Amino acid sequence: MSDSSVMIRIGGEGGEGVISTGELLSKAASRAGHSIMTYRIFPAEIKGGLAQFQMRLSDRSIRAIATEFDHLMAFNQEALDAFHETVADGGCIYYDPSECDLEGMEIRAETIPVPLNEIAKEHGGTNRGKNMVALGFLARIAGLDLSVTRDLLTEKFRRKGEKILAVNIACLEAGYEVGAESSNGRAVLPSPPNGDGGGENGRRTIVISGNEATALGAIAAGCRYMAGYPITPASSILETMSRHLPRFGGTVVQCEDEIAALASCLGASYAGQKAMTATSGPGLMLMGELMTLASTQELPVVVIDVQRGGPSTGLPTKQEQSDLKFAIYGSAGEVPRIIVAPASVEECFHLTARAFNLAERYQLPVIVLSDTSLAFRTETIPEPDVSQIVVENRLQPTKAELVGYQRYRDTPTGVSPVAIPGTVGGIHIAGGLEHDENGSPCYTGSNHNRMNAKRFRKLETLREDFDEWVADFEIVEDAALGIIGWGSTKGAIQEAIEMAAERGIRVSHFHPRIVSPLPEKRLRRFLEESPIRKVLVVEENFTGQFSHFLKAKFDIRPVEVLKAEGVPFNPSEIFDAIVKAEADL
Amino acid sequence: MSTQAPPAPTCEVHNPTEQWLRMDRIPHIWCPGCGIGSSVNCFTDALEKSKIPRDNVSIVSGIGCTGRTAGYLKLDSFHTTHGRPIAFATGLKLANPKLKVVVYSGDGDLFAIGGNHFIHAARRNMDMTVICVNNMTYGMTGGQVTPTTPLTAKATTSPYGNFEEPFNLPYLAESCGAVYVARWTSFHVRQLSKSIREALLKPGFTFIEVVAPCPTLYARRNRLGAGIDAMKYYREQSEIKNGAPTRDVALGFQSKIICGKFVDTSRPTWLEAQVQQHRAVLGDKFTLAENWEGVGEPRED
Repeated sequence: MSDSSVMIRIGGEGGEGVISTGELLSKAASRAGHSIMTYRIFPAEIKGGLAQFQMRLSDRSIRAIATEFDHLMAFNQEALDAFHETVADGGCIYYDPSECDLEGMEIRAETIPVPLNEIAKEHGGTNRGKNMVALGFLARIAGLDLSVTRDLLTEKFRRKGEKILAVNIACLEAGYEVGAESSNGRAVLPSPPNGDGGGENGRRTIVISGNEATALGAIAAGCRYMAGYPITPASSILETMSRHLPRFGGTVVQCEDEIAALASCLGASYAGQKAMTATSGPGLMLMGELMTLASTQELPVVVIDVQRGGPSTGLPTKQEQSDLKFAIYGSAGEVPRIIVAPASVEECFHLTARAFNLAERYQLPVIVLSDTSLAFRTETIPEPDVSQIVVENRLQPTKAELVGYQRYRDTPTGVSPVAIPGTVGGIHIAGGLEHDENGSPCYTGSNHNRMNAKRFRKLETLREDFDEWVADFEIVEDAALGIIGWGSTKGAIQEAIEMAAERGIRVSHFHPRIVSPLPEKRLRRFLEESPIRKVLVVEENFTGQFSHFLKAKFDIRPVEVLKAEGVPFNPSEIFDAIVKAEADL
Repeated sequence: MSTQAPPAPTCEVHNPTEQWLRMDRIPHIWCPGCGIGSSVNCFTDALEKSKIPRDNVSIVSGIGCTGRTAGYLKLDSFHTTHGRPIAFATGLKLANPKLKVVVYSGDGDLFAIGGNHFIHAARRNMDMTVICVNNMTYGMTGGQVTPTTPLTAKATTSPYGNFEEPFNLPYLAESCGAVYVARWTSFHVRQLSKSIREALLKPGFTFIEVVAPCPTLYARRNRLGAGIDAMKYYREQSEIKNGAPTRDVALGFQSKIICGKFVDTSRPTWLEAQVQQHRAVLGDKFTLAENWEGVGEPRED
């Protein structure tokens, strides 16, 4: 952890205001010009259970959330018990003495009582404002200006009336005052380079979550139809789209189930619309049927899978990267699909936009494998320049091609022009039965072979179209170790590699954005044309799904660095694996 | 006196339905005596009389014998997976409200695996016409019991007679919110054609049940004779009662069949309601979809 960043964790009972305290604090920090990254963990139930919000503030851009904290605010005993050991040396724990009893506890860090309940009662009559007291306190600890936080609160509570606003402001100010007494001599953030929300290179920055970025990326790419069914942790994509799409001339339908959601997306796509659905593992399984239909009918569609802990209902609010095999292989029969995996909030935006272009260009379903850690994380990102987003549209038939039109014409690229219903001369049938070039059912072996080859040829065409963007990789000179990861683990891997470099251990890193079909040429270069002698595959699942996928294609015996505990990797865990691998070389 | 045979007639005979069919796909797969073909004739007749341009009609089918309809019609057609035609049609209609979207499928497809989609599309008053050919069995998979198989009727999976209460489809459709509900048998070709035309021209969720024979599986297993016997049964045991309360029109085994137009009402469609609500709340910030002109404006019913 660099000196310029501060880690804060807030813990308490679900429904007590832990998350809202964290959200407001992170917004205030961002307005003050800091980079932030936040993460929240909460129980699947709406009330009760241990909730926590964690946040990293820095005057530089942040890649991963660390798990050692400088400051812990414990609303109750449960939070104190669960988190006191995560506070770093020299860090500090703030606790409410009316909720917590320290007697008999062995606590390394310094402890400071902050009577949240008492202060809140003093100013509002009840303890409901205690999260505002905590907010004020932490804002002072983090070195934030009171006025920034107060303005934010005013915006949030103005609509609720003068009285409620006044109580909340009074609690905030009281907390800030107490914070001033406790922060003497403590490490707080240096002042950010500019205090007007400007980020690196003077570009405007915004704070959004991975799910919001995904929804906005879809809209930027031209998506105007979304159908979905509520499921944690994907619901906020449906919610965000419901809020925004009516303003852009788009339609959102909350369907009766996930099957209907994808089916109606295919209907919209057939009509020429760019359509998307968003779900999590259990919903993706229900969509399996329609996923294969989309591949067979060659309809562009984007399916966002925000992975969560499985199997079955599993750990609905927790992190896991365990839908990869289902995403690649889960089908009746054999179907081509494209799978992309964003590695950060910013990539949630850009990769989702790209997913639409891939779907349109190759007339295929594209699965975006996001995950809980991206969905719930908020990050400061440069405001995307929407004018720079390239929007592609599916290939349409020429006038000549509409004479004796063949929807599934076998072409050298595998991609055939698709007529939108209503196009004169473009009448065709799109079906799930194996069909000939006209779309008529045809069950002969030779036709099945030919159409399979046509459909899969599109993936070959895609491989030839691969550009720099398909994978991020860095081959470090003389590095004997290489790490391959996918999706949201990227930041943690990068920080671990930096930690290793400080110890003199060189590590190369390969992180594909398109996970399937694999950018094989690049990966081969990474594996075979570099001095790498040992490969570590880092992923957040129990069985090593991506590692299996790699082993099926390359002659490698990777060290599998796996974690399936419901929380993302901490960079230090990957660093430890690097050190061990280096010792075993 | 000439011994030469008279020259063969040179005029070609065409079935008027041909223009609506993909003739390269004919002969079709339906068995002799099956009622699906008659219903398709009624449909093409209704379509022609409705004057809706062919390029503006899209037909969506599920899986099963009736599900094959989409494949035979010379229209933009979509053959979906089992049970999903209504869900698919929802997206199709919303992406292009100018299209007349017709779902054409069977009782097993629409009311067993697809039941959830049916009730919600009716509740939403999603703009589409759903035609269900109810032959009371799964034909293509070999004669299993369906949600509309009458009590005591035999099927391969109810060899001792069905004991599950079947759906009364018009009652179900009305309860869920359909604005037009009718039932005819495949014997009532003229009335069926007229009903389909009315349904096609009516905004909102419109539903027509076509009671039709399956001589190969349902009739044979239940010793009900051939297709012609089904026609006789329909003629003798049908009673036309327009406006009959739908709760009273349930079908029993070889019971009287109450036919007619039961429901013809009006309420805002999903598209209209969406536009009206968003426009009211969002005002200038609301943007009508590109091809939705006219949606949400007052309409003449």
